[in-house]
Amino acid sequence: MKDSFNPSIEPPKKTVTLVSSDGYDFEVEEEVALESQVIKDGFEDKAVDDREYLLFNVHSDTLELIIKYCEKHVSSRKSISAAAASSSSSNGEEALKEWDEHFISVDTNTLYDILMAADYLNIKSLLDLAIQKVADTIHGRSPEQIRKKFNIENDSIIDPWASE
Amino acid sequence: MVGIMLHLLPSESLILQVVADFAIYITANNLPIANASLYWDKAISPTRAREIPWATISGKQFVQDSMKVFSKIMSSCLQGQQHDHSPEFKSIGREPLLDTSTTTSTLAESSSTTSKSVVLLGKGQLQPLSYTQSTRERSFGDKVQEMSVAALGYQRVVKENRDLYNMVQDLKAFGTETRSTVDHIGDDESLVVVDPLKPSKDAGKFSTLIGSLAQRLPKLDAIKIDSKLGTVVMEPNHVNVYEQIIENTKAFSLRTYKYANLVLESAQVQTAINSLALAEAMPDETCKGKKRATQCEFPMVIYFSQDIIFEILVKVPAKDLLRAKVVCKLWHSIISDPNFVNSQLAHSRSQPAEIILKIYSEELGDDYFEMLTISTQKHGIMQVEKICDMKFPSLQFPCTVSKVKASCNGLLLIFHGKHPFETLYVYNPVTRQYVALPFMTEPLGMSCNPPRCYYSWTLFYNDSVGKYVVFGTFHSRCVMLTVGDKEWSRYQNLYPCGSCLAPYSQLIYVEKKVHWLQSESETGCTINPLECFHDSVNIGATMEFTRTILPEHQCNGFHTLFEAKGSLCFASQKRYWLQIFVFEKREGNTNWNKCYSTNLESLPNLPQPIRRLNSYIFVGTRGDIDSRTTDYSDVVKIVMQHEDKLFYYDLKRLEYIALVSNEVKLHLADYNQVRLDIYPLFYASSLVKPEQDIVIA
Repeated sequence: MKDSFNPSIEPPKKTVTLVSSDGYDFEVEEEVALESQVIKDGFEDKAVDDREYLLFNVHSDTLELIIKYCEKHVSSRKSISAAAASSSSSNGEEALKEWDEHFISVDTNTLYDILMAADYLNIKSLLDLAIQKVADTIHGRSPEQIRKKFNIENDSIIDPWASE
Repeated sequence: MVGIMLHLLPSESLILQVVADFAIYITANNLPIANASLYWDKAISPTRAREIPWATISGKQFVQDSMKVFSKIMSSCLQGQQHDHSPEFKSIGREPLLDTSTTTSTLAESSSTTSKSVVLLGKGQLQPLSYTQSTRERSFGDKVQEMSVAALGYQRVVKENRDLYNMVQDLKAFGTETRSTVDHIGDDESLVVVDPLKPSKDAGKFSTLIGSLAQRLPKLDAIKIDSKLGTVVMEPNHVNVYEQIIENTKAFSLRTYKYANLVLESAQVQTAINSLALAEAMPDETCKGKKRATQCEFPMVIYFSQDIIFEILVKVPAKDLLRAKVVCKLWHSIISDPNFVNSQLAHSRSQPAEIILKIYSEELGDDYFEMLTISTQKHGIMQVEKICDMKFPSLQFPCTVSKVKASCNGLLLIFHGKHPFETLYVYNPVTRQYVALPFMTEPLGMSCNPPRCYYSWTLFYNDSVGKYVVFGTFHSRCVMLTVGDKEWSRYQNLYPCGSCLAPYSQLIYVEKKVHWLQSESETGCTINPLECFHDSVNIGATMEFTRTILPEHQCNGFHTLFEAKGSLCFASQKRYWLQIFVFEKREGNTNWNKCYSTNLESLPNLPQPIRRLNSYIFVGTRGDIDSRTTDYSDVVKIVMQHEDKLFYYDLKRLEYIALVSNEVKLHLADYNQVRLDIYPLFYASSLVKPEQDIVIA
């Protein structure tokens, strides 16, 4: 209780353990894990000691990427606010956008995995990013190309574009 | 397609994962179990919860007449007479249902898109690996026996269907595009699955494959993959059938793999399952185009929930959505939903504004023109996109006289024709739906009214009525029509008018008022600031007119009104000075406040010939972005026209972009007489129907 009255003493960085569906442990900083709304909500409900989260739907490969994304966003948010405080002009936001663009340029299956994981963990910015990326793949494609891309079978709707 | 799953209770998990159109529970004879009704409830609850039509067959009679019953059910399925409104309950048998339930067979007729995937066929050799509840063990032997009898009975029916199916498949190989999962069912219950990504035209070749399997060598692997044809042949009674399916489908389609995995999981959970059958029957042609109440199942569903597909499609441009609509039934139903149209519109409006261009050429014919939009995409790249090419519905006049007058929520107000036969259209260029507004028949004694082409027009969404409204004004007269109504409303002498001039700016609808710039000078081009006003009419019962004086500005130049961030903006440009004012409330008074001012000559990177231009167009984005900032440099776009070239200047990045697009270039190069009209209008592509009531959250 004393600590809360003395803000100058910085508490040691707390960590949270995330366990992927295939049983790997990932130890991440608390604020990184809190990027996920689900973990944040769970965090507030849970006892302090319980710092392990089992993520049944997230494979370790995907979780690694998700953590990378969250770490980047936490750190660049800090640097942007620091730049704003010192009123020095920075293009931190644009750099982050470019980083995002690069980050999400992955193959289709990884993209779907990221999307599902972001949905499951409720990381809104990442979900938007992944959804936009998937939406972009629809742009300019014919129905048949879309079906191929998403592995959807044509369920006998008469296709007025088929003649094209 | 009819999928047949033969397994024992508990069945929830499987039914929940496989969305069936139809389920039939086949139960054995009476079983002496204490809480049978409980089990029964448990068994049917998943179908009940999902509103899947279901039926039950129970008792000895089933075993005796199994073939008959099955033929009946399957033929009704094949004729597409399945019931859209569930649940349907059907009981055959003398004994009450509630005491038999431990042995359940589910026959699921899934939609034709189901599972390009697992196909296992049971021979009725039920060998439970373990059984959890000891109380049932006594009766289990009997049940298995009954099940085998039932299964054998159904095998006969399946054989009939198999022959029928193969026949249909052979017929289908000639021409039709409809694809099915299973392409051939061999006599030994082996199934040939064609990779759904590949054309199924060569389905006939599989007979050779089947031939090789006919002998059913014991060493035969459960699955054979023919990589050339992209086919998978599965032998259902093999020991390691699950593992082999997983291994092989992994390579061949990820989602198939997922599906197989799913089945495997459920198989592990319910160790009682040792046989699972999923066969395909003739896709019912009668169901084509008929809306089904039951849910479709797609491989994509396993990946994405319907909510996520909704979110993805919202971010797709409207023009692409029209194509995406025919991808499959689920997408069609999502995109047709009014809620979706509104969400898509809201997203489209938050995107950078687009500018409308009209290209037409006499070489292409009088009645043909194309409309293009320009928008800025990521990294400041301009994108030119053709939103429509259009032949006007009325060929009475060449399209060269048609003009885009206004734009709202993806709809365009198009003025077409010559006095006295001019017509206004509310047109969605994406969906090509349009509404021709009624003619304005003049009342007696008012024949001296000016032609409508002198009027200035606007189209806006009146959210208090929930409808689109067309408004026009000229020389103290106003006309207004709610789209869908038959009669125009007329307002005479609404405002003082010294000159015979129309408003010299766009009409802009902001905060329930239509705003425009009006000059009282007889010579319109030399604008004296004292003779130049900002007028507005309150849209409502009163139609109250207000006039305010424009801010002190550089007169004798180019003036325009536009909307940015949900506020009315006024831009004036004379020689090199560009000033932008915003009409907003400060300290209780609504007034013009300067928000941006620059010397165009001091702007870096501006190409020399552009500096001498007189034609500047401003387009503001909507106010949905971030209305708190006072920085207008990123919402105001300067588009400059020089002869037939367009330039765009980014105030934020201090860069200019010449609009050179392949599409525009093509048109400009190919035809000599190409004309280019540029409309300083905000456009956001949408699927809004011209007459649809929409709700913007």
